[in-house]
Amino acid sequence: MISEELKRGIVSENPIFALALGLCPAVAISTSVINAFGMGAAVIFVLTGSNIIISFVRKWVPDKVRIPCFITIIATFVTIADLLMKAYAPLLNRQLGIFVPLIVVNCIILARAESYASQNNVRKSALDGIAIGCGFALSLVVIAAVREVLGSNRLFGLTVVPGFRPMLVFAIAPGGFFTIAALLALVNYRRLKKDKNNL
Amino acid sequence: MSETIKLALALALVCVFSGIIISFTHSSTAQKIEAQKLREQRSALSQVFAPGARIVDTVGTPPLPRQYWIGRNGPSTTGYAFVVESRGYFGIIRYIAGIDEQGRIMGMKILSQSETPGLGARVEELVSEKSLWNAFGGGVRKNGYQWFMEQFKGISVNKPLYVSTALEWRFLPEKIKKEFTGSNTVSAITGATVSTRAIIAGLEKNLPTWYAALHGGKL
Repeated sequence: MISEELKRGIVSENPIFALALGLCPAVAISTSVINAFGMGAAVIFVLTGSNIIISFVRKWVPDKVRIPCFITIIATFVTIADLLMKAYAPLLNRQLGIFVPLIVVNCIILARAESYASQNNVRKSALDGIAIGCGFALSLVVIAAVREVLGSNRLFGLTVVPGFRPMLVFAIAPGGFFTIAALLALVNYRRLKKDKNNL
Repeated sequence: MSETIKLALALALVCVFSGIIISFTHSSTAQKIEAQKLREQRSALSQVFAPGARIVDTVGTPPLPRQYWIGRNGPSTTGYAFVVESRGYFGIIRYIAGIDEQGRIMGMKILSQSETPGLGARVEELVSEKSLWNAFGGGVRKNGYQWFMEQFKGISVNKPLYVSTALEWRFLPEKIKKEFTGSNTVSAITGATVSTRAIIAGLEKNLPTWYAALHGGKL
């Protein structure tokens, strides 16, 4: 059950490579692997927390104001994550900067609230939050690893090839789009091939 | 009508609950966050001044800032440190700058900034000389240093400052690094000229005035 859910979050409903949601923070934050881990952890926390609460109150919230209610709940978790990071991981918080508060408008989180947590029970929603969150975090780490090596010749902040001058374009936003597009093409190529074999 | 009230009540209830939870989190982390800030400031100060210096909190009168620090070594003054604020690409960049009696920068350290991650935020990027392969081979991992702030060491605040956009400081050979310092030149961060200029502008705007005020108006 749990491994099935995880597989769904990481492979078939991967937020970035399958649903193509949350690309904005994915481009912005994936300049280093450490940042990607930090952002991934924050998103897992917010997504799981908001999914649990939203699923808990789903029957009680009037349909007409459900979106503002969901956003308020999500914003609460984001603020908690931001404050906790400031208190216990100040360095990481400084690196991620504005993108922690911006998790509020991350479309994956509202998408899961609207399409999953508001229709399923608390246990399922919590699992969904963890699975989708892990999918997002893992994708971020993969993108960040490619960009950090190519764009700044480093991995985990350590030099990969001493004396090599990196391709700056991968460290900035256009390089982020290139990387995501290339990885997305690879994932889709494999998916199409698999589908063909199954026919 | 009653439906409108029902909707408003539901929304209000959600907001009240979230307000309570946030204020609870805030009050339980506020002390810790404040302590983190103070710790950062203290560690920045100890890095700016020469080791062994006694750091004295000083209250300044205009044109000096309200709070600055004097480093003392026995009876003699080793230098001064100030908090400098400057407008960057997104928000205020706050950093500590220390100068010696001759107006040369002893060290600089970023306190807070909100520049673009991966570009302007690299003003506080740590560079460790160790490469990935060495790290796998074991051995002690050397602490990194903020290469961008490091290059200001020895720069005089009383002379014009030049910016080179050719190559980042961390890639320069030792000989050129010395030439840069000698000619009051620092290198810009590639792709983040605005953030680089902001830090330099903060120095140019404040430090000469403060230095002059400390030395009775004579430069």
